[in-house]
Amino acid sequence: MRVETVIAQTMDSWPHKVAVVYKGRQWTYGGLRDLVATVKSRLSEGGFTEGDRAILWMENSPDYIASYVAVLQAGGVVVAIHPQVPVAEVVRIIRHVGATGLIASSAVKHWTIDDVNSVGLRFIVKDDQVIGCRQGESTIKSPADLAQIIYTSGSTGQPKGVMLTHRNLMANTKSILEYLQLTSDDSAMAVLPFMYAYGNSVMLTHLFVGGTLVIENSFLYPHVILESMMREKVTGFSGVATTYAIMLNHSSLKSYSFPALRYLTHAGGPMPSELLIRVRSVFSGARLFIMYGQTEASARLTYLPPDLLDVKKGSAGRAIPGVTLKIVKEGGAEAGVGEVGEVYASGDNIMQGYWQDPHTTADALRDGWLRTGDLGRLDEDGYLTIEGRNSEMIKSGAYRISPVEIEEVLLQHPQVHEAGVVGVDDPILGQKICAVVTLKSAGCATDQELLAHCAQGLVQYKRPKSIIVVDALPKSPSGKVLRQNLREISLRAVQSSAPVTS
Amino acid sequence: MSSIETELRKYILDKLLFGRTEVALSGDASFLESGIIDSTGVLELVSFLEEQFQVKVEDEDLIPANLDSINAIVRYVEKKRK
Repeated sequence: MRVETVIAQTMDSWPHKVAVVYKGRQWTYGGLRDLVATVKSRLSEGGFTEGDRAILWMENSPDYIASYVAVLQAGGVVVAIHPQVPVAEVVRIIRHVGATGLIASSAVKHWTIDDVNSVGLRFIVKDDQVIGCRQGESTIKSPADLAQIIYTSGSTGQPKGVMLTHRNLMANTKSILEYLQLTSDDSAMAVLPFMYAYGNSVMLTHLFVGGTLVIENSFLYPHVILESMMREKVTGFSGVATTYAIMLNHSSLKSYSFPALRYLTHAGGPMPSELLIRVRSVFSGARLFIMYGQTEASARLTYLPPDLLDVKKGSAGRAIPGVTLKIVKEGGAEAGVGEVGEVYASGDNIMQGYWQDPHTTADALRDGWLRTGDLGRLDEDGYLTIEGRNSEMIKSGAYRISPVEIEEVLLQHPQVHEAGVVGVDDPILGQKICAVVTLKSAGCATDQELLAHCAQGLVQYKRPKSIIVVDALPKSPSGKVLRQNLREISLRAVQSSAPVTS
Repeated sequence: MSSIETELRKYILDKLLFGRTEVALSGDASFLESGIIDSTGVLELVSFLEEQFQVKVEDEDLIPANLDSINAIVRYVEKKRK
């Protein structure tokens, strides 16, 4: 069974049911079906065929959902990119994935047709018009079952395209539906970007059962979200630690009530225990699901049933239906109960590999198991506790970010000699990005100039919050940059310059 | 240009645009749509308004009508100061 077949069934079964609420308007499943048909005809005008890949460069919206479904219906593969990603990175992805089409929303303003003219695209759909249509040269065809490629930040700094098949997405979506027990009566506040795995799972689960997605695209103003949650009587909210921290610390949350809210989900990094206690107390009527996963697992690997929050304190839960976990110690032996090692996972939700990257794929997939790169232990009942990450990836807000990628952008500045980037603990973001750099000659660039440079080359969530210029980076005798020392330097600098906040 | 707007534009140029003067920001341009600010940026902006203009920004004031453009902030600060 393919993903778009299930969604088509929903659209046919509930044509009058509200599928999406967006900017004060409603789209029924019938309305969504019409939108899908429109996008499909644009794809066919552009010459899009089976096995082709289309870039979706747009914000969460009915158009995003329609484009997603239309690309799958045309037998293609969805490659969705966050609307704020700079055009230079989009060009890099278009080239890497060999996309034939680009579907861009008019809300994405920081590019022109000239920027993408020479990257081998056959057509561009913008504002419902097909432009730049040109006869296709032959490109690589994707395998028939491939549905989606999600680009994530790789530890080497090179973007990695996680290949997810229909089978992967079907398996994961069904598992999530099973434990959240979602039905067509459910409606979710969708604040997480659909183009990444967690948001994608929120979108697919609701489209599978005929639920409603209430889309709000910015968490800048938590009151807008809270008002909307109340007005639309949403039954579910999915967030990361940052979203919960902002809601609790910077809104008058207690003056709202959400009688319809049935459940909350949390994923994308640990939730600090103090925050967990407050979330449970403020949303006392809703069941809180703590979850853990990875893009490489289509999204989800484990969940902690809400009744066990106190019994299994600090645990990320047990494997979701269809997933098997094991812990592997250094040296390759399987760990016993309570022993720490790397978390391995297998199941129908595990990716096929990274697009055109057999080397990295072979490193991540071993004998049918996904190496998560996370350290953890399993208790006697099979409940997982994450002990830390094996790699140096930064976890900020809802995003996993490679320090190397940011270092590379910094090194492109003509005055930067060396750069080291680390995540420093932050009460709102989980970690915030700090860069420590040395310059080619003293005083030849300011931190402001370097921040401006990063603002041009990196999407907002990857930009350092502070850049500290030092005389030399801390290094081991072998010349390796010592990240722990970078963290200390960053922390000291951040603390000494922190503004007094209320 | 009011003194509030001058100070505010200076803050935005320094802290959000990092001195990129080529990014023209009209008084009514939405911060949300232009993507120049993220959710922690809003919180930093609020701290700036409180310190610079001696106003207390209540949590319930964190709405686009008050904070989502230069003109909106100027109106908001003027109202709060009265």
